[in-house]
Amino acid sequence: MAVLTIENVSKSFRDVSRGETIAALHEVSCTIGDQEFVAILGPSGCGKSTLLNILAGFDAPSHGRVLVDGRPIARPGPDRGVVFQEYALFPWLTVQQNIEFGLRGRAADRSATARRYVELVGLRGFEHRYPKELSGGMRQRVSLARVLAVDPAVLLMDEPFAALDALTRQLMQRELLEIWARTRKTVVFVTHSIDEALTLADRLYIMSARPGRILEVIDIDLPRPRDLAAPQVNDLRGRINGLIEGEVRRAFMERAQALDG
Amino acid sequence: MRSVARRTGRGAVPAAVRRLLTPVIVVLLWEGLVRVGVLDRRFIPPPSVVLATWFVWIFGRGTTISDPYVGTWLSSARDSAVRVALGFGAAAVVGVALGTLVGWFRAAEDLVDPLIQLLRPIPITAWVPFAIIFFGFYTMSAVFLIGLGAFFPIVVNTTAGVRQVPPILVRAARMLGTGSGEILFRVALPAALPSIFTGLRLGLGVAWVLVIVAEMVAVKSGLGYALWNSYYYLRTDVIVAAMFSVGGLGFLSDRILVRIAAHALRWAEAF
Ligand SMILES: Nc1ncnc2c1ncn2[C@@H]1O[C@H](COP(=O)(O)OP(=O)(O)OP(=O)(O)O)[C@@H](O)[C@H]1O
Ligand SMILES: [Mg+2]
Repeated sequence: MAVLTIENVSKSFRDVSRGETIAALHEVSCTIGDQEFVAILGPSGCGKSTLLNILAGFDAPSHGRVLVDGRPIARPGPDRGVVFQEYALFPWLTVQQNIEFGLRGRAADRSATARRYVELVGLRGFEHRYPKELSGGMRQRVSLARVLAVDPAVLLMDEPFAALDALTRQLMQRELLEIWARTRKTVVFVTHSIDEALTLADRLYIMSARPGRILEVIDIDLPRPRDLAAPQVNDLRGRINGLIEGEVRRAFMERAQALDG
Repeated sequence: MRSVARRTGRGAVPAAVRRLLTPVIVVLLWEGLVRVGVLDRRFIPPPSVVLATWFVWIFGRGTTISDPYVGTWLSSARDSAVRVALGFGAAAVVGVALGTLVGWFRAAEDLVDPLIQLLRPIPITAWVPFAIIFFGFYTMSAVFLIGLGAFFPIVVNTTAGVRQVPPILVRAARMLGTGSGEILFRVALPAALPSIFTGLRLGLGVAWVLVIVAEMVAVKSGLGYALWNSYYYLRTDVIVAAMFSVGGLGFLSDRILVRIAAHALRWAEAF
């Protein structure tokens, strides 16, 4: 059980070298219900990773607060698993050891548990490989398995499939939906791809260009697996495209102006 | 294109032969020049004499008690090796431990790093008089100098390695429920291991330099002592044999360390 509450969250960074303050998030509020699959979409640099880092407990908001099940988030914890875009595997550990990493003193039979997750993400036979010996898609699956093994109530995923080729990406999306259907976690999924969001999410948060605000919330009440060519999906895609395009153009113009001035 | 052609064209001659060619030529030339008289054999002994001396130094039975270079090689080499092992071992333990603390904890950096940076530019040879006054003409002097010399590259590289631990790996560990103390051992140290081994290798090289320095002036045994002492007897053959002995032992210990590193770092992208 995990409900995420984001209340009036703003975040600014101090750019020490230029002596400026960069506003990354501006008064973001939303509630993500238990077992929901939520996607966050927005132009590059709008603060998506910043928001995810705050939910993970890596960073504190400048204003506002974030809660899990009503308790403020103070630090990272195994109740909120993070799948990093850069995989962040421990290169000195094998696949098996990476997946066991978070199971210290938790599961009585760590290695059996880890092996179960190796199978789940289809990496049987690769248990004793090091990350450097794996392809990008395989590394991403290890990263997913490592987080799933500690069984977090929340899954925070930052563009996890961005570096994958289209085919592997589809495969991973399907696997993720299967896992989610089985384990019913709350998922927050950051992506740049509208189609990926339309394939996966119950609800879509569209963010504005920096400083990131929530521009629009779109519910996707369509059964899965979804047909991306279906007319309802096409309608949604058109709408989202329009919103994002406007934001990207605005962000671009602002940057150009900042450069001129 | 030319280098490609050269690379493929040399397949006819085995690598071992190609690599031995230059040293063999140099040795033969050396021998020849001494025999012909171009080089004065009082100053430069021919390789054949060096080899014979070396053989006697290693395997000879002590018939002439007055000659210290009969059958004494093993005990000299052992003395030097033990000093290197003690000094290097101590430097490795202290250097890695201190380097890890300095790299990881701000407080340790503030307390210890200035002292390290203050002492580091002093050449280790400048410590020799101090070492002799403090420890006397004993093994401890040599171990101190070797330890001090090996300590700096080890501590500096360990510190750099621990500082460069990718923050995302620390985040990943914290997210998986790892406590901060545990992160030092389970993330920072393994991530710094490539740097640590670089420091150890540099330190070991310095250790072999310093054992010779120490034995020349501060201790009365070992290969360095033999090297210096034979100079007084103008035993140039022993000098050359001792030089290559030290080189050989240094090379051997480095190979061993590289083997260990290659195994410990088999996960690393490039090693
Ligand atoms: N640690 C930091 N220090 C200074 N500025 C930062 C820091 N982290 C992020 N920012 C700034 O905050 C803004 C939002 O960054 P963030 O990484 O959250 O964007 P994003 O939406 O994830 O972008 P992308 O889609 O490209 O990953 C950016 O302008 C970035 O430069
Ligand atoms: Mg990002």
